[in-house]
Amino acid sequence: MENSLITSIEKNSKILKINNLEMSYQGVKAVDNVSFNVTQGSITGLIGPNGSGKSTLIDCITGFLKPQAGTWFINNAELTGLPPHHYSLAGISRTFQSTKAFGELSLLESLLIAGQSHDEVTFYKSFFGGNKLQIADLEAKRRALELLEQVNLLKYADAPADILSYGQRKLLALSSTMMTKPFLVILDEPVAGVNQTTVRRIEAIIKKLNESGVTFLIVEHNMEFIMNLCSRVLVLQSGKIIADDEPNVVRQNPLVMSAYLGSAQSKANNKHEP
Amino acid sequence: MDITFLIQLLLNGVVVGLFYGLVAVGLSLIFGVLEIVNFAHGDFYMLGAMLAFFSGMYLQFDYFISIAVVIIVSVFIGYLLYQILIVKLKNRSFEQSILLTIGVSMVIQNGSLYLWTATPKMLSNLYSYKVLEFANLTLPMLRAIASIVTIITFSVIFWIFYFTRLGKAMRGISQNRDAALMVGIDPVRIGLYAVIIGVTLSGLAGAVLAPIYTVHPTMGFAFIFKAFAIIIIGGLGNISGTVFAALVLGIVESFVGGIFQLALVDAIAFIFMSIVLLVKPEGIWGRGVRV
Amino acid sequence: MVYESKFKISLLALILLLCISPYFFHSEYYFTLGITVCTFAVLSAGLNLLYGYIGLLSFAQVAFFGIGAYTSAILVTQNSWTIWTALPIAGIFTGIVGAFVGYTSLKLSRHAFAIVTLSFSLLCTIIAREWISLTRGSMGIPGLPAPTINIPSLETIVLDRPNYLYPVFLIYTVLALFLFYRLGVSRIGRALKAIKLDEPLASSQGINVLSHKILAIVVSAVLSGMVGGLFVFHLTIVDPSIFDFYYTESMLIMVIIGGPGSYWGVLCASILFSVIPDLLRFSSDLRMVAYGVLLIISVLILPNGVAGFLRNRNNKRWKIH
Repeated sequence: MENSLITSIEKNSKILKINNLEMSYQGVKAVDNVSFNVTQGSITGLIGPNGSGKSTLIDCITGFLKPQAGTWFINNAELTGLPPHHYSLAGISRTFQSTKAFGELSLLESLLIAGQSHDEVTFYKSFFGGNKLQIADLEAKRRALELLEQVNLLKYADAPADILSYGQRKLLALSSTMMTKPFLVILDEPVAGVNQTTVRRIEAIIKKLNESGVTFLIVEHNMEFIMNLCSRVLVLQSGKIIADDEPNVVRQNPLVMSAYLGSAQSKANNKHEP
Repeated sequence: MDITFLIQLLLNGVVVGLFYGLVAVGLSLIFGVLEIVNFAHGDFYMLGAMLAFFSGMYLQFDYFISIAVVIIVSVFIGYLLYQILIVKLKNRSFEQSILLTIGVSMVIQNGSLYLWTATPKMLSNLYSYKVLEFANLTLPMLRAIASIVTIITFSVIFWIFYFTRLGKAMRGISQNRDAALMVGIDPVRIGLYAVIIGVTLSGLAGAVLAPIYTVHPTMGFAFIFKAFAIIIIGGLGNISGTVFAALVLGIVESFVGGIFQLALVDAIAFIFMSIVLLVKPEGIWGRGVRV
Repeated sequence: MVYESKFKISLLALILLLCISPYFFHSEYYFTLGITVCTFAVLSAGLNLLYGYIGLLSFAQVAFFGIGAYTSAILVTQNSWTIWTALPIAGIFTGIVGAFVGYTSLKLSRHAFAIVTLSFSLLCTIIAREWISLTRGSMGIPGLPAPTINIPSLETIVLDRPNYLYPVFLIYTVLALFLFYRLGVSRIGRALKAIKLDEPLASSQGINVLSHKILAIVVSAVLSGMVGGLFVFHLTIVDPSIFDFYYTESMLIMVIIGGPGSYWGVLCASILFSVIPDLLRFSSDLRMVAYGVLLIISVLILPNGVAGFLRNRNNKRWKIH
């Protein structure tokens, strides 16, 4: 899939730079002075025990939460504190942990909506129609059907998204991110609760997209998935980054193990409470 | 402009403010606990006034007995309203709950117009036409008594709200629904009480104010607008905020009307509401429910 | 909708026929009814755009209707404009008010939005009653001159009866409804539906939620304002009752029963509910009681209206699990 935006970015540049991000709610620091960079063309993992602040961090940099402090740069342009649609237009796509979908709309419509802000049709042109609109619409439909085919959902193109199973919704969400022609895709638990076949399929799709230049930042709990895909893994605990390295190194890191064990330990302790 | 005049304006304002408060508190309570804007609130007020009118006119009940009768009937109506209609709104959107209460309002208001016509009715009792005078200040006796009844009602409500378990549960749900559910508060039971109390308060207000203002099927509609403004200014779901906001509005209206004699006194409520929404949307006295 | 040429031509022919029908029928009754249908068709389409497509329960529609009405009336009586120049200005002015109201109230929660738009409509009633120097207060502005069409070197046609005013309404209504339709099926309409279903998701895909909402409010405001500006010539008087809750109640019934979000459902319901009151001549109070009951039943049983019910039945065939 051609993406002119991606080819114009120099390889290995830092397309996402986060500086000193801080986010608290109700007195608890969910993100505590986090800074890191993501290299163009890489697949980076973001892991950590439940409640460590991963989703909060994503929500901050994509405009869904207003952090108390911090700046972030996308492709060297400062895009701190904007509303969510700006990030999408700037080339970042994301999915949600809760696997959102437009339940009553068909799969095809859902994908068309995802893509509609990203072709050259402006607000006003989209109403007055004309040739340019028709061409753009046909192209969008073609891409949408192609994406549905890749995830084996073509036969449900006209069905309402409500009927999809959980795993199929994850696939739809992933396809939607592609409609927006992004150069950076942030996935929030793309394979949580999904069966093995679908996990493999999603892995394959991500690998293929990455080969064509798309950068990924993936929040996940599924270790195997992270190990198979990521060249670099960041570990978050209580809002702080406690490790940032290759996956094999991170796996052996004692701090990381105690972070997970620690939370497993307290889960076990809670179970014993009368 | 002498001081007596100003004190008179203040007195008038406080009295009107108390009445506004009596009408608005029920609305605020139902919103706080159920997150429903009870559009029919003004119509229950009107029904209370109608019942008081008929008890006074045809059954010769005196003021206080009429009020008691209205309270009993209102409790019953509130109970029915909840069990038949409101409980079915459990998982519906907020907009649907407004539509439901608009439907109820349409039925009550137009039904009343059909049964009793739009002709205003005047109710008088022992206390009408008598005026209290002291220190050069005047206060119609009826208003004085109504004010006292209002203050007693507020005291009862405050007692329920701040000193009983029921009240604590209601406050809990208003401020943080999820947390309240987690500690085991039963939203269905608390909702029922909230509606019963809310509807009773509006019926009671109708009975208390029936001899003071004329009684007719659309009388509630005029108050609703101010009641909405008051609950926003005071903080949606915040009972004490509502009462304070009502008093402030009453006083300001009295002064503006008395000193400047502006015809747009009615717009003051809207102006205040707009200012509050622009500057502090959760209400001056803050969070009952997040706005 | 299939845009076959045959369909387009027959539709145009129908409209033309309706336009010249006043020359064949002299009874005012049907044309008055026709004017009422046109007016409510536009008003409910406007409410449907906001509540049905986006989920915004705006009570400000009647305010826009009345503001357009008053603007048009004032320009014609006090500034001696003709309806043909006053009407567009009324539309533009109402649109500006709409943009302002929209921008300020959209920042609030859904609860506050409903209350604020309601209060705005009530405020308009108060202003209409009290700002006497502008609106002549409760007495209103009577005696609006009938619109005239000056055909140079031919006669001047005076539109002083519903029969003659009706074609103007019809043409306006067709244009307005066409605009609403095109907006609904466009990318913008699609985005509005997405916003209603899941606003954060739509936003994360690049849709500027605020712009879309304001656009919808402004379009509804302009079109409702202009139909108000026209309607006032049918009434020949404008007074504070133009802001009556009765219009809101009627619009709500049409949108809720027709099916929020369904263009054709709401259109059919608006025709039905404009015509019914005249067919069933019982007391208007009882009629409103019936509407209230319908509204209650609809919320409890048919929350998506008739059109929604049919759509859900249609979707059942996709059940695969």
